[in-house]
Amino acid sequence: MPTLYESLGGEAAINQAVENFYRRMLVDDRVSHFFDDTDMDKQMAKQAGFLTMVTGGPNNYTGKDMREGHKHLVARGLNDEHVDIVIEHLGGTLLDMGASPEQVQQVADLANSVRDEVLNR
Amino acid sequence: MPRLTYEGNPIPLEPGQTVLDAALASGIDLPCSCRNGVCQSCLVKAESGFTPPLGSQKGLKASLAQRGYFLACIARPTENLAVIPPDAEAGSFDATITAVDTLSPTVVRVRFAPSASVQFSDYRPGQFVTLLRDDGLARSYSIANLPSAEGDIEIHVRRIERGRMSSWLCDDRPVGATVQLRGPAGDCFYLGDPDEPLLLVGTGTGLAPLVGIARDALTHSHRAPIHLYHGALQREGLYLQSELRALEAAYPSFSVTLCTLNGEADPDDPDAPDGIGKLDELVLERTTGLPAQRIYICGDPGFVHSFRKRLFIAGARMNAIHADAFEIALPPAGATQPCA
Repeated sequence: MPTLYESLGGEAAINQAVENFYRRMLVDDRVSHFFDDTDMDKQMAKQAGFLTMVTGGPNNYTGKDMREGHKHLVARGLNDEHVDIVIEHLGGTLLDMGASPEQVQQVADLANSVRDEVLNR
Repeated sequence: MPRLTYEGNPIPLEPGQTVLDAALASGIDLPCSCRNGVCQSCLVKAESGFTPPLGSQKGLKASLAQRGYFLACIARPTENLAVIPPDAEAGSFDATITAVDTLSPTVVRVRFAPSASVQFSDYRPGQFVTLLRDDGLARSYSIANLPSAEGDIEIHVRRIERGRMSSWLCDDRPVGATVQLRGPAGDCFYLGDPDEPLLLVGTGTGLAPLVGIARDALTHSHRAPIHLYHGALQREGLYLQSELRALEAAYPSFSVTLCTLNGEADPDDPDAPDGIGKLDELVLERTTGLPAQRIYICGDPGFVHSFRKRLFIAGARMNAIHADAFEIALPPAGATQPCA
């Protein structure tokens, strides 16, 4: 059973997905202030890592990585609503790239499975 | 076994081990996260003369790959490798100011000759150097000229109100003074692909790196179109116009659009700007095929950050946008201590 990562087309597809996802973040006023970094290259690379993980692609993230990686955003007010919006845009991006609603639900489930670590709870 | 060093210190390397694992096992706190070559948290640099291991530059922006950066978590050395942190300071060398020439009422060109024993030819036009004065004052400027046999460096300096370095250079014109130059550094340089259309956009002395990149591309027989946009508030802020027009006449693939925010269009005036209005609007109106472009944006930080974001949202590729924001180092109003 291929992962969504594989059926979308692997690394090349994820790189395209990341750009599409990042664009959606930047034009959404509810979350753009978290993504409006002066170092956009670095920010996008981190999102590539995240998208690889939630689509079932190869990664070695630990729960500690999730906590450490988001602490500075939690300090700036990152909360459940923002995480919901991220998952919403993730879904939109993947549907646009040909994922099925079932696959998108799997991705949402994977993203939700690290919600507590991301929000440092 | 290949010899691995980090910041000059040897670290033990097991067969097939990655640079990241070797460093962590040695007690070096290298940042990392995905441990699979995607998130780029573990970005490091190979010292000059050493080659990043095969496959360890996957996904990196071309301007980083060409400068020897690589990802430690997927790097398995097969030959000796000296590694340094990604933001390690470059070496510095002595140089003498050989000329200070007026380019406009507010901009001078400063030329440096390196000390006799140094060959500073290992830079790309468009990168920047940090100029260190005898008293320790330090400011960064972009390189506008092509490497020469003598290793001379040319920068453009705008006189900033209360600017310590710029008033020294523009008012005192200290020809003969010895300084130190540290670098080169920076992401804005020609990458050598002759078929990539280039979009060069700058404000103020952002023109310096852009004209360097244009010269570099044209000297290397670049084939695709090169569009350079220079913007200023008023006509007085433009400079190097005749040189740019001469390049335009000499190279059919090179075109220049000079823009001012204010002023009147005047088709009968040969010195009138080509466009009046906001620079970002003018560029977007006149540019097609954004995803295919390699883009360089240099100059005013507010403009650089907002235009980069705007171009990306409009479809430009993130890895194809090279931005250099010219931060001005002034103490905040009311401060009694000058900047270091």
